[in-house]
Amino acid sequence: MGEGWRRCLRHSGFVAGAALVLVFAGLAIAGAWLRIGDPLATAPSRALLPPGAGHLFGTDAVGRDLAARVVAGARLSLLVGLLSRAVALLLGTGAGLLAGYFGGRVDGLLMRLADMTLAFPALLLLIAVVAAFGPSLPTLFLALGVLGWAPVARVLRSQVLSLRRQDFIEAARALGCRRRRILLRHLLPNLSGTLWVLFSMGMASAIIAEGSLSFLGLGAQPPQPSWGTLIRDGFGYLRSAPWLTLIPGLCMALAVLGFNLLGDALRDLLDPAGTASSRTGAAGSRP
Amino acid sequence: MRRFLLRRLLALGPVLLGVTFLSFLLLYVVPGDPVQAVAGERYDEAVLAELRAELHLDDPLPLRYGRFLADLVRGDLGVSYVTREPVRDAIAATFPHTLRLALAAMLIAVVLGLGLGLAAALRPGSLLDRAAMLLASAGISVPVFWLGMVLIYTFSLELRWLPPSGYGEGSLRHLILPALTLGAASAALIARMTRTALLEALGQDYIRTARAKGLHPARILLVHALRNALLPVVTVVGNDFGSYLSGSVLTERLFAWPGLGRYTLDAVAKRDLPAIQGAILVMALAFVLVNLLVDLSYAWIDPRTRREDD
Repeated sequence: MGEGWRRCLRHSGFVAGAALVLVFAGLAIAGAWLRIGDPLATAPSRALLPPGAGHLFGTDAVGRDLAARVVAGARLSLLVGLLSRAVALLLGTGAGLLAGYFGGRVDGLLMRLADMTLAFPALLLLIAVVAAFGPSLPTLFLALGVLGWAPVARVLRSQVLSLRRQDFIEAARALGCRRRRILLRHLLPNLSGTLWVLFSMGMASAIIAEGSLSFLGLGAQPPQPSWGTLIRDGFGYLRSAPWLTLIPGLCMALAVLGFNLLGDALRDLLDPAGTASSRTGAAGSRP
Repeated sequence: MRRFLLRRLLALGPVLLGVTFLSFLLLYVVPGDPVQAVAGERYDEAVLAELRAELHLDDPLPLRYGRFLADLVRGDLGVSYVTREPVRDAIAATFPHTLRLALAAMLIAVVLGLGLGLAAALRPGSLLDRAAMLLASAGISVPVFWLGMVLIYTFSLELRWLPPSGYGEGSLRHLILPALTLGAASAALIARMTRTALLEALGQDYIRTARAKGLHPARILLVHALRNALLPVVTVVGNDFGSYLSGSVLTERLFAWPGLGRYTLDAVAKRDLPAIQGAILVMALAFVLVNLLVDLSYAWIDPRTRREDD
């Protein structure tokens, strides 16, 4: 354990990524208790103030404090990311384990299903789902999660395929372990490294996807602040108050960068052979 | 090669069927009555029933899917609920704009990406290399729509060099910013892959042979090494081009670009189901077909991939 941590801390990508992720996670969690300011309180007399002493990031068109809204946005973006990842990893792990371990018809069916999910352009599919069921946060994270199963399943399947031929699985089988025990107690723990990589990469693309849909008006609904809606609201004031778009966008880019760096680093550290594919999208635009 | 081609074409069948079925299903089993969306809420039951019959909404689902497919084969994508015009005509009018934007974005991505990647690989570890790779990391993490806004702010509002939005009757000046916005992420990825592939190629024996023959270093880099580095670049170009044809929704919205993406968003806002369905179907088909072409060209460039079964 000690050696492992030392290796992580020597990896500059890991340190930078983890620092960024911790900053945003800290803001999202602490923001709920610290009440940096009310993200919804309006004050028309203090509208469109530039960043300064009273308001660190300035104020928007109705005088709401941008810093408070950015923190609230961080909470929402990360929450959507976490929930959608939970759904995607749960579905993807289940499918990957089954397809890889049982092979044959189960494998064929699941992988064709994955092909079909990935055959659809990701953002487009999200827009279609939201158009069909109406924009709301549950729709958003469920859609992101359900559509994100395929890349997870593919990566894990290939890992299971190579693991199942190894001696310890043979031994477990020879000892008369039940299938469920082999899958959950022997195979799953060996996938945890890959799962962390998939989680981190997936968070990055989930944050972008949430932001994109909210920017299009198909995600978080006003007055709920998310980074995407903040950027959208600020767009109209790009000339007079550029900080309204530049600051939330920068936060979003840094959070995404953090998760990407962390994911890259984890892959380097946990999976030197490089079996987990990079750029595994939330809804998997890239096979 | 022929067997590979055949297998890929056979695999295309179920995927196409899946794509059509999903786009059919997605919008016809949705909550809410499409007829109400057409007629509004003022009409009485008789009018609604008539409309429902006209749109065949009371038929069983398999029959409707069959009819949908039959129409599709004849190139009929239905009639917009809002404009009452064939969806096909609207798509035919907007798709070329999306294609033009996608081509321009890819051109920018390839030129920028190869340039940066080459520059970085020439002197690995140098300041130039680090700067190029930092730029590439940023390019992958920055949200498209935010990058677009930064570009609009810098080049349109502050410097006043380029127009902030619109199609401008096809002027090149209107094309630059949206194309740069759309192509930036691919440029970043291409730069990274070119660098990695070049560095890997430069360590190979055949490069040492070329050096031993006394070839000019530039010739070694540009002819011998780059040719092998191009393979991953082809994949990125293909994959990303496919997603540009569908994924330019954000860029088109940001720059008020009159393409298929903006048409889709307008249709979503008005709940114009046939328009949404037609647009999504066309974009998904374009995506699938481009991806197939990529796979085929890949097999053509690198014979080693043909035998791979999975």
